[in-house]
Amino acid sequence: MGQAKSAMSIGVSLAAVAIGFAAMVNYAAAQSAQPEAGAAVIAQGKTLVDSGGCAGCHTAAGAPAFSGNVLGTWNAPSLLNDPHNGLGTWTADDIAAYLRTGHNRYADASGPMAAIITGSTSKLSAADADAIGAYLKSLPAPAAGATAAALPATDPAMAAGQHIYTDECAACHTEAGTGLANLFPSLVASPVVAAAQPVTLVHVLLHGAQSVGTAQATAAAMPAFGGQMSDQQIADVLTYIRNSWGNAAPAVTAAQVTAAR
Amino acid sequence: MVGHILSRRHLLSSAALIAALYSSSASAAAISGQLPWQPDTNAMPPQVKPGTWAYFTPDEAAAVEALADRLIPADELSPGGKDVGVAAYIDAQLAGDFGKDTGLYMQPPFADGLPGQGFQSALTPAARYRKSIAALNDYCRKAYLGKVFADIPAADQDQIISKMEAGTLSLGGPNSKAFFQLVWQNTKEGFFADPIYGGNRGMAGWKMIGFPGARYDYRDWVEKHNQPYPLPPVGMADHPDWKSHV
Amino acid sequence: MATKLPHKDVVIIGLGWTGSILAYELTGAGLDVVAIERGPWRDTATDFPPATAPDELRYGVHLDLFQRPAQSTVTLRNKTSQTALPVRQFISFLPGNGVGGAGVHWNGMTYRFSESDYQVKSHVTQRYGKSAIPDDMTLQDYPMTYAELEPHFDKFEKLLGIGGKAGNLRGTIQKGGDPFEGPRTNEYPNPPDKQPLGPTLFAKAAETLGYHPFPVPSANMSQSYTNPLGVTLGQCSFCGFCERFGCGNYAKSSPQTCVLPALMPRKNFEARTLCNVTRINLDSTGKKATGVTYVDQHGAEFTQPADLVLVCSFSFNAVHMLLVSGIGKPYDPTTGKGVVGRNYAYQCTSGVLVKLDNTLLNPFISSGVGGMALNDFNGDNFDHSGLGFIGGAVLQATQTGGRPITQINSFGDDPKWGAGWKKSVKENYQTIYALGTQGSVYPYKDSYLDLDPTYKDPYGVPLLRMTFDWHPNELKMSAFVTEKLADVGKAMGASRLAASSRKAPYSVTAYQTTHNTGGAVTGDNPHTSVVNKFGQSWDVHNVFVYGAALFPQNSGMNPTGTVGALTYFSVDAIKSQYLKNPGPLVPV
Repeated sequence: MGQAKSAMSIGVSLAAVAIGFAAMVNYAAAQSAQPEAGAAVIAQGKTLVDSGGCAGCHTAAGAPAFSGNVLGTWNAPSLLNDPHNGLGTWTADDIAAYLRTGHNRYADASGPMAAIITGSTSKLSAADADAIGAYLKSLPAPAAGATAAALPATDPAMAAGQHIYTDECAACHTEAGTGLANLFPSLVASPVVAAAQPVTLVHVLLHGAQSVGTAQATAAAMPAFGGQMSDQQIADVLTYIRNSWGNAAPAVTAAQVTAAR
Repeated sequence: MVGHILSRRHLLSSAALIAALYSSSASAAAISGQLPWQPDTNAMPPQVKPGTWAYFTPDEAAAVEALADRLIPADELSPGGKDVGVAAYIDAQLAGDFGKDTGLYMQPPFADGLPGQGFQSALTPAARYRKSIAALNDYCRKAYLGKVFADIPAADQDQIISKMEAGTLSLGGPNSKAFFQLVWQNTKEGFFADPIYGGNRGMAGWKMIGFPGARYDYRDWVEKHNQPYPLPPVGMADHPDWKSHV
Repeated sequence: MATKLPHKDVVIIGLGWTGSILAYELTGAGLDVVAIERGPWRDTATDFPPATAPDELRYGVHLDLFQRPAQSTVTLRNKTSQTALPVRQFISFLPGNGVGGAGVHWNGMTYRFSESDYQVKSHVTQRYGKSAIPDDMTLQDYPMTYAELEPHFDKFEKLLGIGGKAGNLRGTIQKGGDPFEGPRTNEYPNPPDKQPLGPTLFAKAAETLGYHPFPVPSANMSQSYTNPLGVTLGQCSFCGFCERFGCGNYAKSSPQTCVLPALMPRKNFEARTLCNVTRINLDSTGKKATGVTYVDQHGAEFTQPADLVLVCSFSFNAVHMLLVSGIGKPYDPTTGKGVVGRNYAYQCTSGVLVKLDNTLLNPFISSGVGGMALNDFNGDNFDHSGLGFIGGAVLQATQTGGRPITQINSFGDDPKWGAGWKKSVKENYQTIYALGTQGSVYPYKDSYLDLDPTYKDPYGVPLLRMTFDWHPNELKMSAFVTEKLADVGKAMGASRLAASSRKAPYSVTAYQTTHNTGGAVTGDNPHTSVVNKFGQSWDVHNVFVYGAALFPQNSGMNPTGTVGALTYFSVDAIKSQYLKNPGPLVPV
């Protein structure tokens, strides 16, 4: 019952976001035919982000703005300028491409964000999308906290996880975890991978997911592995992904997977 | 699962962003608006487990195990056909679509035809095993003092198999050469198919020849000509290295 | 009683390569299009992801992705004097089924035929005289030239992201490509892929003999690629499960990976799966189609009215559709009159096994195409004077998988079972390499398709009957090219070698090729062709036919490139001419 309730509130907030963005489409074009670089563009971006309601999903109650949130079975990942748990490796262009097509060289949108992209951000003008990119890139990087150390390769979960990854994941996401631009998401420096609560990872591995189809039409899908891997195996491979290639995040437990089935 | 379905359904309807997956056009399955996609698809084939026979009688199973063990005898290269589960594999196949000729064109009239016109039998593989094993055991009982094929010495079994292969063994009704070809094809399948189907236990067939099994990415090895591939085989459900907790 | 459905502008029969391309082009022109497909919907992640795609038994042996003979099959006889019997189990050729058609489970070899192949009758007559063509051979020219098709090849190759090396760029011969190919406007959209050991050894040996090996043009992506429709494909990972299998990582060109993601969002397109079209309906004049009748998976019958009917099913299914619908005059071999079913052809394959001591071929490391080829003995790239045959074959060294149930090579005198067999397969697996030829088959008066008098499909419709056998021209060709291939095998340093050229009679008991062609051939004369140069029926102007059924005869290379080019050639004419003024595009 609790799950259903939270799902309903997500739906309501998404609808609001979609309406908000739809109203803002071509905002920049209306404001200025030739948006200038720098402060003006960033200000346009801030206006779009604020009225588009991005914070509604990407900011948790009481947490710093855009530092990420959990919505039911999906993460609304951190949008901060953090190279590990945020968009630190993305350029403003990457952000704009993601908003307009759902795909870029790092990520492919699925779940609630796919719906947002289909319904509103894919209709943003290039200038508006660029402005949002510029604004998000202008946000200060979070204060460097104590950096978590990755689990050692000798950890039994890491060892098993590496085998699972090689056998089942590398054919698409590659041994180096980089994925393929516009097709398979990168697992390196990804806020979805690094999120404190890895709900998207668990959900997508269990049930599969389809990325959004736009002008970048591919809409590749992630196969479901829930019928093929045990909860422990799913936990192990996710633990490996969250602690490889520079990633460092808490291990995933079999109990977390069991709860998400 | 319930939460998953609800959240997805609600998401789609409340945001009203995506057209219905399946529009209805009479009772035909019409697909439009977007690529159809469903969660939780792609189940693996069910794992065939040894223990009980789905099609064979115990006598038939014994005969097939004996045949498999002579066709693929145990030696330093691999365990024998019986121990790798060839009979379990064939049993499951005969109980399933293969045994029933599901999907093949089985409309009469049946005629022998020319060899080049291919298989023309009205008998299913399951029926051919049943009749042929019965005939083979009848033959053995007459020739070997009441013993069935499974109970005669290996050298005699080999001789009988050679005669079947050549088509010189008379089994009364069933064609011994055709039966040999069927058993040998199915035995190879039971030795080399994914272990999920009940044979190739321990991936013994794959290990014998150095086939890495259900792997999917050799990009790093394409141009490493003449170098042995380093990873052991894996099956769809056979992953000895996946265990973090014993 | 069939339920009559609302009218559509276009109905497409079969949603494979040609059907999906036509649907994309014609929905783009604003038409309301429905595609009716006999098999199920299929897609990568839901139907053949990497976790379950590499299953040799399910896909390679039990042929899970193919047409089931129980749905429909053909009957076969070698000669008109024999009684045809049903092909109860597909072995020699494997027709596709389901969305994507054979484009899902092909290897991806994407050649263009030789320039002279498109005018083969004129060319042969001019070079060798009329007498070079046997009396019973019904050879004929395509009604268009290679130059006319070239832009359409280019478009098809870009759609698929074919990897290769041009051998003839606008008339200039390029090193590393096929010097015998017709002039290309552009390089291939992708570079050739890496080569495993076998093809590398073959190319080296062929060069020492003065031949011209080149990488087989491939639909297995050598790198990630975004096509002009905005669809991105992945990079081939050499999994070794290609032909007969779906690709799990979006790395093989297919309607799924190249077209459907861009097509499906269009509101003016609809696909109906598990629906079997039983006939094309004609109006009372018999000169115009009114739509099609089909049966869904529950057995309910529907009529789908449409202005335009596009026949996009596999070659002999297309011919069957015309015959059961009464479109075009059926071919009669005794009089030579009639056209539907005429000029059925196949391909004449052969092989050479070479034993390469002390090698590790690692045969399981392979893309579908992965290989090298040479066209020195294809088409009319060599002088046929005094050889007693016309035509030729591509000689290929590919490595298409080391799947153990079906792909372990052995010599005829190797032990067949028992301990000796085990020892020999262990050795052979890494050391025996199979080379192949894929030869042209020219058409004959007695090679044709018609309706079987006895056997019927589940809807009570007569099966298609195939009357086909090998003729001396093809057998001589096969002997010649197989010997040439054996020479390359010897130059590879084979310690043992077995060459087997094609022998009569034609038999359905061993896999040869699924390049069945003809029966609804394209031409400029209604007495020797079923459709005009645009694939338009001479008799019913709003019915167009696509696929290899259009080929007047078969060349010695894979047909898909030509199938794609003919499709784009036709749809250009539909868009630019037919839609403005529906009627015959070529005066009868």
